Amino acid sequence: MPPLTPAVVHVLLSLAQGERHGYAILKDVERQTALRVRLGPGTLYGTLQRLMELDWVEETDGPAEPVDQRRRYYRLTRGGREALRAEVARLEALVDTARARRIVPRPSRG
Amino acid sequence: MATGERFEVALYRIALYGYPPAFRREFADEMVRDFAQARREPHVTASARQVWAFRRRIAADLGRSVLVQWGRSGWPVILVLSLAGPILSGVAAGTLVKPARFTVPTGTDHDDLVALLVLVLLLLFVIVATIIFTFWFAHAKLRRRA
Repeated sequence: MPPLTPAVVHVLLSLAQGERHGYAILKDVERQTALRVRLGPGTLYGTLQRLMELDWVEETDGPAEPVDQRRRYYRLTRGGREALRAEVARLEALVDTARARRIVPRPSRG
Repeated sequence: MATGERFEVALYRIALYGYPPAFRREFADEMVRDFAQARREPHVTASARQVWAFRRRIAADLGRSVLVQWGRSGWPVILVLSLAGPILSGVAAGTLVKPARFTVPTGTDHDDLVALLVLVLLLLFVIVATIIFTFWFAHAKLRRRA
């Protein structure tokens, strides 16, 4: 599997916490990255469309009592969770390599 | 919502017509809602600078994602293949059919011939585009069913 784009990783990470509507995903990505990554609606829905085609994300009926009934909710599928796990493992291996080569310091313990 | 904000939302809704129709039908309403909500965020409305930064971000996102969506829609491929079809068949015909010498007619004496050539090329373009278009959509339909 080729490396995932940052937008895909952030959207998958956001949906790993549970079902969300588009705007909630945008806000969560901003929180995850301390405003370093700010997805626009075009990028977000393009990403969601691709992820739904891959069956990594699916649309749901949303919560029993949604705040806004017009909102569409999305959640991660099993395939999406596996893809996210694989990507995180790839990134971990990358960071391990960087640490072994002393490009970034090892995390201090205790 | 202030008049300025309402105007921006209306402008954004119009800008969404830049996307391929299928994408717009699927996501435009959500995108407009997200845009309106983001525009009302306190950190966006805090100062004129923040508002302009938001506008720039949205414009960049719009420009980038419109190109991506048109790229994904398959239209550029259809266009390139449709142009390549008549050009390649023209080159092949010119190479295979003897005498191969062909000079582009100049002057007003050959207006009819030039018009005929243009029409033939146009006809070839339409035929090839129709064939590719049909195959493309049949394939997309089969993929959706699967």
